[in-house]
Amino acid sequence: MTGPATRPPGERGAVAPAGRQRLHPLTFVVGATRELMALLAAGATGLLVGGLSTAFFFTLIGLAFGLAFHVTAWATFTYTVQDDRIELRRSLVRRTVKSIPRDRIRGVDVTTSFGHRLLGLAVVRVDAGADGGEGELNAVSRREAARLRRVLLARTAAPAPPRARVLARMRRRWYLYAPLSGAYLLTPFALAGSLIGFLYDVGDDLGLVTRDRIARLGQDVAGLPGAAVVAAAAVLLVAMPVMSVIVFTLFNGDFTVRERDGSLVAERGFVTRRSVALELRRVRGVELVDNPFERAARVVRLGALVTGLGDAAHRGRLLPAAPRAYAVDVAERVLGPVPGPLTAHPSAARGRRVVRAAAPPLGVGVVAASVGQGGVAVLCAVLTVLAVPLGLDRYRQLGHAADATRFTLRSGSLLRRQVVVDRTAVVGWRVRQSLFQRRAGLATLDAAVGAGDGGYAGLDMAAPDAVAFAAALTPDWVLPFLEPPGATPGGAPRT
Amino acid sequence: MTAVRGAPRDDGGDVPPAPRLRPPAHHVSRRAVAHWTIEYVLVFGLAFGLALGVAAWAGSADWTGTPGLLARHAALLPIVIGVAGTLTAAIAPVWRYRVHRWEVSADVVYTRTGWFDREWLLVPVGRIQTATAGQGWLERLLGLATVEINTASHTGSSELTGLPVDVAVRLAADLARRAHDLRDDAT
Repeated sequence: MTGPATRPPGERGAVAPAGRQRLHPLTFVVGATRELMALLAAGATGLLVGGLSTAFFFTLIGLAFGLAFHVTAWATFTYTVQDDRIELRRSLVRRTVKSIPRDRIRGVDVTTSFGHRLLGLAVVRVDAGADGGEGELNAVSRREAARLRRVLLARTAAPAPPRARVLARMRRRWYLYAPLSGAYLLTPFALAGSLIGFLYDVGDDLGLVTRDRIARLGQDVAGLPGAAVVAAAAVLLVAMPVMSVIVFTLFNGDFTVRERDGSLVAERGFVTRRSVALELRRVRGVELVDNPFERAARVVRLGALVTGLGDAAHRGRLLPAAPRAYAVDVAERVLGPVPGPLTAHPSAARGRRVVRAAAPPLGVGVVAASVGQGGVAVLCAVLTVLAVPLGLDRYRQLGHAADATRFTLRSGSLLRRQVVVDRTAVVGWRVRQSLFQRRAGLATLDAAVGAGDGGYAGLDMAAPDAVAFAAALTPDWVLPFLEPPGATPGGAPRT
Repeated sequence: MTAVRGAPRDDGGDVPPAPRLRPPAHHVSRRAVAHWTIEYVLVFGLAFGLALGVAAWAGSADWTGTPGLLARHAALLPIVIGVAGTLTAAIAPVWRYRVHRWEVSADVVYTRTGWFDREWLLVPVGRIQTATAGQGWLERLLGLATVEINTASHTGSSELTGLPVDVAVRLAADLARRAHDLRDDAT
């Protein structure tokens, strides 16, 4: 560890030569814990089953190697926060220096798992947008994590005094909305699946799983009386919403969004407390997402559209399921007024939505019927009938609106999504028109945005509306290319 | 309709009541028709060959039940592909030539592409990240080139195919230079 001694010494933390800082010394404890647990379990079992066998000594050697590796990794890794960049040096086998310019940093993500929290540590991830532009500090003390977040996200050299403003805080009652979103309902299955997988793996390693035993287990299950099966299903049905609330609470507990030094800081979770900081000037829009159940309960999920943010679905989250009025209020505090009311799309779009929803099952059904697959054909017929209300709802949810500074587009039914985007975030407009849309006088307008998904579609707008929408938001780009009024049509979108 | 019509702007003026996009000013090179025709012939030729193989294989296999029904009609497959390919190769290139147009104004790249389905794309020069001129082997034979325009968003990125080489190279260099000068912070 020799280096030029010109750099100023770091403020805090285990100080390595020349201002470089090391990760927290306890880091390798957490890092090695997982291996330790597995090896200890295997070693203890080996001791019980075979006494002081070769396997046991191998386990011990493995343990020693694991520890040595983690200690060396810790000793050879340093980081330096400089005026213009943060450097991560790794010199375990190959020397690498990863240098992330500070003006490219788009977010700092601080995570504390349960183990880290016990030891007062936190993992800091620095997101710099570009591919591979992510640096991980695993792990530093929680004070150092807070300092890094403040220093790395502050544009000016002197960090301003922390001036936090709470933008949103989750109410306790909202945990009950968890069962409404499908993902959390499935958690009992996921938990049971991973538990069974774990038991199987451990049992297999210890030689407890034999073909014989599995066959017997299968017979036992098949031989269960019907009442037991019904009871098990009932328990599962009750367990699903309860478990979903518990898991949701663990992940999203005390969800709080603060504004601090020009960044949005979202913190959430009881067991693993996660804190994501987003630079406010890179937040170019928000999205409001809900499904039919959440719509019925008038709740919505809120997310931020941030330029160059990896893993945006998780990092950009601003609110889990929350009452709509509250979510809109938070959106307006983050972004400004949400344009509205939404303009419905022309009724010609209704037919297109219904046809597009019903055509696939109908087509499969016709093919199935023609080759004599009666069952499949009936199933497809049912799906086709169900697709009609889906298509009608998809049409009902279409809408767009704009004011002088931002616009909003809404679409989708099973997963309805309304985006609100700042007009300065638009990097281009794309108008699409298929032959069928041309006959119906419709066009789809894609707003290309350098944030979030990269583009948001206004499906099946009236063709002149699509052009007028773009022209109203960015007149400089669109007006020069409009047909002068009263000119002969030249193949452009028309009514 | 009312919500999208904002108040008149000092820099823009009123949006006309039923605005239509006019076609961009420039056609692509006429040699692009030859390029597209050769491409369609090659692709459909390959598909036709594969279909012949599948038909021969399906005809010789002795299946029972439902797949047998498919096997009896497998001979139709190459015919369908052949007819579709011939029609596409005959009609699409000329149609595309009539649709494909481009124009670069002071600060916006405006293109129209497609044939059955059409796309109008407006990308301001200030939001362009890279502009590249490239040539495939077929384009090199015909003296054509493609200009690829990339923005921070995939939706806003586009390709201008069928330009003469000298025009494409000049355009790409010009766009890259102006994008650098006009670059603003939408990313």
